[in-house]
Amino acid sequence: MLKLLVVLLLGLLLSPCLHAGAMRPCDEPQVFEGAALNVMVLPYRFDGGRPPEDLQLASRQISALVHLELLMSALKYGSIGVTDLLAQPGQVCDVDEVLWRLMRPGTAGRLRPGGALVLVWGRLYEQQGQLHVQSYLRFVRQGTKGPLQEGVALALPAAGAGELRLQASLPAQALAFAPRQIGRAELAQVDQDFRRAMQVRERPDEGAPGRSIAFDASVSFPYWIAEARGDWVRIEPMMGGPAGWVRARQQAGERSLARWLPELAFADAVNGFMRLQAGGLQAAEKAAVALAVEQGLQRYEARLGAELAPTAWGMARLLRGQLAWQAGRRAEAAEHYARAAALLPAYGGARQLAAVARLAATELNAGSAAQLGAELGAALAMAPKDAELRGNLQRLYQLYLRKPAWSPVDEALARERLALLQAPPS
Amino acid sequence: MKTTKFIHAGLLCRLCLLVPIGLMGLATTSARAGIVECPAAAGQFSVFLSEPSGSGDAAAARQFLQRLQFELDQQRDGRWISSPATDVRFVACFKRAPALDGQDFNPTLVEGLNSQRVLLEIWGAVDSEPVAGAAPRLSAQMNYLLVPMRFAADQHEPVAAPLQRLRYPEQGAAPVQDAVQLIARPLDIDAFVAAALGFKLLRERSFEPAHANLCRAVSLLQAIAQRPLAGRSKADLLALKQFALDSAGRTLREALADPSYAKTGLLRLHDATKPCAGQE
Repeated sequence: MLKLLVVLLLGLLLSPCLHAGAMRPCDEPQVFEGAALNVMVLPYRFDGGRPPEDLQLASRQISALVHLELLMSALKYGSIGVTDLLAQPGQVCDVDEVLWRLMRPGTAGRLRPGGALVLVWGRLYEQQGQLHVQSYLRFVRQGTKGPLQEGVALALPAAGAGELRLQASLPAQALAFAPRQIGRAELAQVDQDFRRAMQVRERPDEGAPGRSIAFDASVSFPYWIAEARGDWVRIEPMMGGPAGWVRARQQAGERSLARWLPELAFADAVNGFMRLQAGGLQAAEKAAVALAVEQGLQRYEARLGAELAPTAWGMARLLRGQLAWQAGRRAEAAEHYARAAALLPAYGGARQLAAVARLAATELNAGSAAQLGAELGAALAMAPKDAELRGNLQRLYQLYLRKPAWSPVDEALARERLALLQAPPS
Repeated sequence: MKTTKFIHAGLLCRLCLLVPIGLMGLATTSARAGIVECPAAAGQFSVFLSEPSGSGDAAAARQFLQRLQFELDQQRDGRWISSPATDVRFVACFKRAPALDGQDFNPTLVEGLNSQRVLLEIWGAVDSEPVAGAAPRLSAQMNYLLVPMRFAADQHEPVAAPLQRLRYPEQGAAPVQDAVQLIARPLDIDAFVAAALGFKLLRERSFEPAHANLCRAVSLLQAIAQRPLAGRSKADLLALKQFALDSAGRTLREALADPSYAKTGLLRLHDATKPCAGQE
């Protein structure tokens, strides 16, 4: 059975950094351990029973082209590895399982502490010649004791009553994009682009002699990126296979993949965001990456209004808030988080993040401490199992007990509520 | 000329745009296909996606519903992205065609839906208005029947309007060329699902998940109400939000009065006069 394998692209382009890509079987995922950011494109599976052969092929082709598009757009971030995971026909490539394998410590090809990982996958549905595509995205960073939650943490002085320590994670590190519709013509374009992309040529020229990348289920095909020129990258195999130039980005403007999959611009922004979280960049590089993040988000937002994609818009606000927070611009961060909470009304965690950031941008006093209690209480009403939220409320009620003048409830009620928060979840 | 057409035919069958408006209006009111049985998802909460009555184009209706189901149903991907939305299955109900005014939902039918754990039934109509030199301008009225509320109303319990209506696109929104995109609004559906589920769980005395869902519904309905809704839709929506809030308060009161409710239950943190702690 045909099974596509590895495209590994590693290189030295901008600064002392690594660029890599790969095609690998879904049940053998590996990251590039030397890369600060790894991106995994999982198969775009077909929904609705056994797919016709052409759509089965389309699923594969879209994944491959998304992989190459994300690889090209991520080159500017430095120290990246982009992998295309492949599944057998009918096999569901389980995101949780891939993530578990990649985050498991101690074995080769696993994400090292501090390393960032972005997963992109999707599903397709066909009706009357129209293909409907939905993409998903998830991002995570490896810590020393498991996955890290992106978010904020702070300790606020409490006017002679010690300090109030709070933490608030992003309410989600995953996103379902709005489904998109593409026609048969675009599907044919995908097929054409795919066949062209899978040619390794002697020169960065469509007319140059080419050799097809062989897809074999049992053979990995890793290669370095030795050079990038325009839409072309020069690859050098690590373990054997063709060397030469691959046109990684096939079409510009109206016919580009990013044109009908605007979520790729969003994914590029998330890649930049996670590259910043992984660290190791100079100040000028950080500024350039932050600018690229903003540009990617704006490209997406220009294509889909907030009323059609409120969750993506909310996530965009969260990312902007995080970057502002990390740059010390707390009032700006609080504004972004507040707008995110408005766009994500079902997320108790978004409300918590907005409340915590607002407090950090002002001053801890009787009024703000009481307001925080009300807002965290409202968030808990929606998300009673959120351990982080319960922890913040515990510390707030402890503060109320240390500083009764700031407490909106009497001491007995504060003690009672603290005991409830400290009790194991029922 | 503005042409009214039911969702499935109006969107997918270009022929319908040629139907004179008078005839379409007649079809809207008189040619109902009625209710046929639709199998709910076993062991799960369901949302029914039904056809409107009056369409003779079964194939188009089927395709439309299948695609709507695809757009709304996250299936296992919902778990992968840890969505806070309630885990429901969207069921495409072919040939099931409620009347626009909801008159088909008699107490027997509603009791059957409620016992099958159907939370919501969705149907509606689309207008397609030709625009010179451009794609037709689409608009839609969607009906959302909150089954547990309707069931309670049939038992003479006081509830907010169980039949909610929303129109798309809203004032100021960018025009949408694709009808499924026009009406497939997960946040709106999630708001009604959370309200219906919260109320159902309250009646079943599952207090903690009832309270969480009702408070989520309050937050979601508040967000919808801030959009430029018009007329009765907004009034009904605000009434539903108030009902969800009142039900959250009732949940707290009943939980705290219930001797079997856990002594360390988190609902004891909340004040029944502010049941969602500040979302009032």
